Amino acid sequence: CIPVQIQAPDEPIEINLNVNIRQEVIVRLERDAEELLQQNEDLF
Amino acid sequence: NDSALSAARAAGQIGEQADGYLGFVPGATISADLRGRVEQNNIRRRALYTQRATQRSASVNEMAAAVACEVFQGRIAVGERYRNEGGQWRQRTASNPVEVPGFCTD
Amino acid sequence: MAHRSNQAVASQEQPAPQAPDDPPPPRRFLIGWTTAIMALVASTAGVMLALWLLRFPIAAFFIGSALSERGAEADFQIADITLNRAVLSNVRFGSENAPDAAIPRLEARWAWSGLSPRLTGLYVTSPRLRARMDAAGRISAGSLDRLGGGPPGRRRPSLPAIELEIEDGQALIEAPFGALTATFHAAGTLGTNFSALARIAEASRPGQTHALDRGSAELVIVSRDDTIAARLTADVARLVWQGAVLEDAHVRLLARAPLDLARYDVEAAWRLASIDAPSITGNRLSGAIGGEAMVRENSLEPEVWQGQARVNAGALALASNEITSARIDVRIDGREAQGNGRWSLAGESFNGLAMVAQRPNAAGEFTFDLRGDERLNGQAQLALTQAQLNNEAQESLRATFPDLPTAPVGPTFDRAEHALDVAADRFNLTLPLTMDADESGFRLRITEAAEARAASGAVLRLSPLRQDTPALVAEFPSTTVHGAIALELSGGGAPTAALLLDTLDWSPSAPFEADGTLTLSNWSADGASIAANELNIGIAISPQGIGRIDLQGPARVTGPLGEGEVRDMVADLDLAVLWNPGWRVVPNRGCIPIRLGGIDAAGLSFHNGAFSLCALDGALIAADAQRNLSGGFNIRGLGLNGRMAGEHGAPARLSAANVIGRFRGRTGDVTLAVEAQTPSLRIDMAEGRPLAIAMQRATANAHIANNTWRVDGQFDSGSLADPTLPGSVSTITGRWSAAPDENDGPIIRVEAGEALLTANRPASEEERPLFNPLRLTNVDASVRNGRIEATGQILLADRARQLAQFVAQHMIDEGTGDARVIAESIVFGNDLQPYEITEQARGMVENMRGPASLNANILWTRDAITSNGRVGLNGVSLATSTIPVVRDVRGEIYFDNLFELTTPPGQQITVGELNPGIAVHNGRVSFQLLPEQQVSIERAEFDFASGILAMAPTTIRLGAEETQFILTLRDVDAAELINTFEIPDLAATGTVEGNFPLLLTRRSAFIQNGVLRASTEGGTIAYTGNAGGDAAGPARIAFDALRNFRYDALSLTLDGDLNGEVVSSIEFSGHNAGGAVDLGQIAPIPGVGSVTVRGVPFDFNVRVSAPFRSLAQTAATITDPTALLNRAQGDDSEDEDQEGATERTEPVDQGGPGTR
Repeated sequence: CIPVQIQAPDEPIEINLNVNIRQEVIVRLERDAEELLQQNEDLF
Repeated sequence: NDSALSAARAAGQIGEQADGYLGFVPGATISADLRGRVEQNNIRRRALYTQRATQRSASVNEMAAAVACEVFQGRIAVGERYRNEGGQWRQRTASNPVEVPGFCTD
Repeated sequence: MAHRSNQAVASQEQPAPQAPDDPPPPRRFLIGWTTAIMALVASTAGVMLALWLLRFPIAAFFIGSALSERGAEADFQIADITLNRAVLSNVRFGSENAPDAAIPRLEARWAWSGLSPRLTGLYVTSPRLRARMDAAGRISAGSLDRLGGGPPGRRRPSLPAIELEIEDGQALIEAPFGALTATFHAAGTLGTNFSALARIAEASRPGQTHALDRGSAELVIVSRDDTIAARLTADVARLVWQGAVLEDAHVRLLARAPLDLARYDVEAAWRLASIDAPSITGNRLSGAIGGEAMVRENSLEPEVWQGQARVNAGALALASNEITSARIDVRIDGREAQGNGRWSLAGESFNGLAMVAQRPNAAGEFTFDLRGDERLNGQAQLALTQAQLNNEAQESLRATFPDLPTAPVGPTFDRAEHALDVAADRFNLTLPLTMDADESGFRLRITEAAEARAASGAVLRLSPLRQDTPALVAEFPSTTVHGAIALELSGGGAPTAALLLDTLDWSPSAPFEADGTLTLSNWSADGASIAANELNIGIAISPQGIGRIDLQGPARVTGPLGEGEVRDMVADLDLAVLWNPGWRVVPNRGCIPIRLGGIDAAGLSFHNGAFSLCALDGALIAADAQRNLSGGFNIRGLGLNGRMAGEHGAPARLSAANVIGRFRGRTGDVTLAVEAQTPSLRIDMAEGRPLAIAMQRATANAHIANNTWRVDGQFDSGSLADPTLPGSVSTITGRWSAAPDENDGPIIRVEAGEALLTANRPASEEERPLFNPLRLTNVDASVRNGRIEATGQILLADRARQLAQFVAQHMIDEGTGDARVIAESIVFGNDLQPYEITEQARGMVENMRGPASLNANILWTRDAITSNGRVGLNGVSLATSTIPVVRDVRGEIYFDNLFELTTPPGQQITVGELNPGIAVHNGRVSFQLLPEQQVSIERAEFDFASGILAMAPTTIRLGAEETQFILTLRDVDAAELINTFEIPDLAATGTVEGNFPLLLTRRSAFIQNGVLRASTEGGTIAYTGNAGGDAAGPARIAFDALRNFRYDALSLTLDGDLNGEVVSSIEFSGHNAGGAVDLGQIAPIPGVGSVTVRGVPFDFNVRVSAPFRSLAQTAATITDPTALLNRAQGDDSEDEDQEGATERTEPVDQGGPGTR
């Protein structure tokens, strides 16, 4: 096939990305929370 | 725990917040001593959250929020005031239970 | 009439008559004999006359009446009578069966001149006389004594010059020790050649009250040249006479008188080996008596007479007053029954009346009138030279001044004792006396001043108090003494004292009583002095020696008190000193009001004060017979105003509700137990800065023995308040002691002292106390020469946790001092947290772990207290209000003001790890602490991802709600950065730098648009994970691009809370350095197929809003890169695309809390 020369675009290809926090983090910390409460009765 | 804090809790001067820390009920007169004790409690809580969050590679506020869920679900006595997820101060009474924050899983 | 002093006897054995005052018995003895002889001669003259006229009866009558005329009745028979001779037989004087005189044959011869007969001779054959000597030594011949009296007024009888012959005369003398017989005979003519001899042979008469041992006597009478002389000699080996024992006594008596008895003179000498009588004892006594008298015209009584007597004695004791080699001279001149005399007494030494003296002498005159009531009066002058009090008297003189070296009266008593002691060693005493006697008794008076003048210059004068009355009157036999005396002492270093007693009474059975006033002046000794003006004094001493002195009135005392001094202490005395048994000092009204002019003690000097000194259990001080001390004093309401010692001493006030002192031990080894209730000392260190020290109770046991002293005691529940101190000191307890050091200054020591240091109450609820209660323990202190040195430990009162030691010193005069507080290692941890030291740390510094050290200096002057110190942190970790995790802080901080907690600039510490939300390590911080808890951070650099995170110089306020920093990152290695955040499946190279403002609050650490840029040479970034495995389209491109993406520019902007939601966007551009990127899916150019592009420049704009830490997870889940597509289609409007891209991008809703 025909070698195609594509001029690398002078403009950089712009990639925009938005990322947000994920849900399961909270769930994962529930056990730790209970542990912290038990270990530090004097604080809560 | 610290008797002065539990007295202030019962007196409605201070209460648990959805962010996992103790807060001053607006309008309550807070002595320097009570202020010191609340700050002390919160420093200790924040140090706990920071250490545990680092171990779990979670953020401190996440850890704080997780603990808040546990506290809202069981550690607010009738008559005590608390600050809900929306930042409003509520009072748990016989008729209206604690508004558990949305981010908590039951 | 010239006194003939012819020494009748050889001088060396100089017999002397007995003491002058009672008439010598031998003179009476002599008168008795001569009258007896005269009586005998006169009677015979009458006989002749009668004989001649009527022979026997008339003769009898005349003889009888002549005899009775001469006072002697006689019985006789007339044997023969002639013209000039008569012979009487059985002449008997006295009673029938015990005649005083019995003469078997008496012959008288006479001659006639004209009609009057003149007796010419008397011839007595074997007369038998009887005489009695009574207990008083008076000899009486019974009825014969009355012979020769004769009625007065006629001519004086005289001795006729007749021939007198006595043969075989015998006299029986009945003496108290038994009868003695004397033989006598006589011959010759009176006045021409008469001589007579009477002799008592040596005889002994044993007996109880009276006894004679080898006594003999001889009387020789010679009469020539119209005079008659008699010589009597008597010798006794031992004579006991009513309790008086005389040994080896010899008497020689000479008497002469002319026949007409116109005058007579007597001389006697006697010698005595020893005499021992109730009131007189003596040995080697001798004496001489001489006397002559002119006889009256009409009777035998002396008209003008004089006599002198001398007594010498080896040793003579009159009522236990001993005089050695005494010489007594008496001289009397009389006219009829009146007369006057002089006497003198001298000796080698005198020992008596509690004195020992050399050359005592006394002299006096007296007049007497024997008629009527026998009045005698005289005056005498006694003098003792070089006298001294005997040892016993000197001992009791010394004992009257107790030895109290440290008491105010110490030096003055010592000076007085010394002065009187020296005076008592050598003085001259002159005592003028007057005497008078009548039949009621004998009185001795002192009417003029008696004086004892000491060699040391001290003079003691006893003189009448009032002109008109004598000083002292001693009456005998009732032996009472009364008077009104002025006793004055002065000179020789002794105090000037005037004891004026206006009533003084004594008698053996009644107590000695005296009342008057006592004045003391110039009684001083190196600064100390005692003065009293007209102190009322009452003295009463019972016969058994139980005594009491009452003193009433003000006395002023100045003197030492231990090492200090009491000035002008005026005690309003009303007290009694009682003695026997033991002694007691008792205030009569229970208490003595005392005013103080000034008192210096233990570094304090008070200029006035008043209190009342009350007796405790009955006596101020008392000692029983065994010298055990008791009694005590109670000072109520002590209040002393004054100043600290030194010329600019601060004003001070000492007070105590009650001070109780009890005396124990024995004299010479005294213990005084003192207890002060609520004592308090207030010192105005400076204007408005009163230093107040108060105790609940302080005790002191002073022990004074053989002139050294020691005091020890306790004090408890004391408090100390000083407004410049940051706190108050309370519950002070401890033991203290004081004793003289080597050069006699006092050292006061405190042992095992304890105190509680409590911070001042904060002004309002808004403030908290500066520090929690601290306890000072094992405080040992010493006060010497105005310098206090103390050491001790500082503990937290709660659970007594050891914090530090302190060493302090204070100069009392200047009121300056300093203290070093040292704590090698205070280990914080579960057992000790900062808020337990000070509430102000609660809510500021928590969870502290690790050892710290403190080396603080506190300096104070009268006006202010300053402090500085070094705090060492040796690997301390903590949590603060804005930084929850701080680990391994090391370094030494120098505080220039420890109270304000401020430091000079350039304090250096290293911090192992700091984690306000992100952990940074190996920090090197230099800072300065400023007032009001400001911290100026001069430089702070931390290692962060193999680069440096540095904090720009800034000033923050500790404990503030939020703190703002500007952080800069340098040379941060991208790979390290990724590694620090544990981002999985991502690798990068290159270095990143930049800065971002960090706002630390109590909850969070906000980064506000922090920008990090890669350094110019860029680097590579590669995603090694497989998360994008099933990605397609733009995601696929992105992931492929990230396989190994070479960037030349990378910038990371961060916004949000490190502890929670961090919105961060990463923009990097650069070439696709890794494998080809198949553009197919992005730009489906028909027929082209997969277009892989290598080195295609991509602009990655990644916005991540997630917990910083979970940034890593987001890298793993990039989804929906639709935006990429737009880019690829060459949409030109750059900016507009920017917005457009972002709007159209659907937020990937993870449902995280941060999305709001």
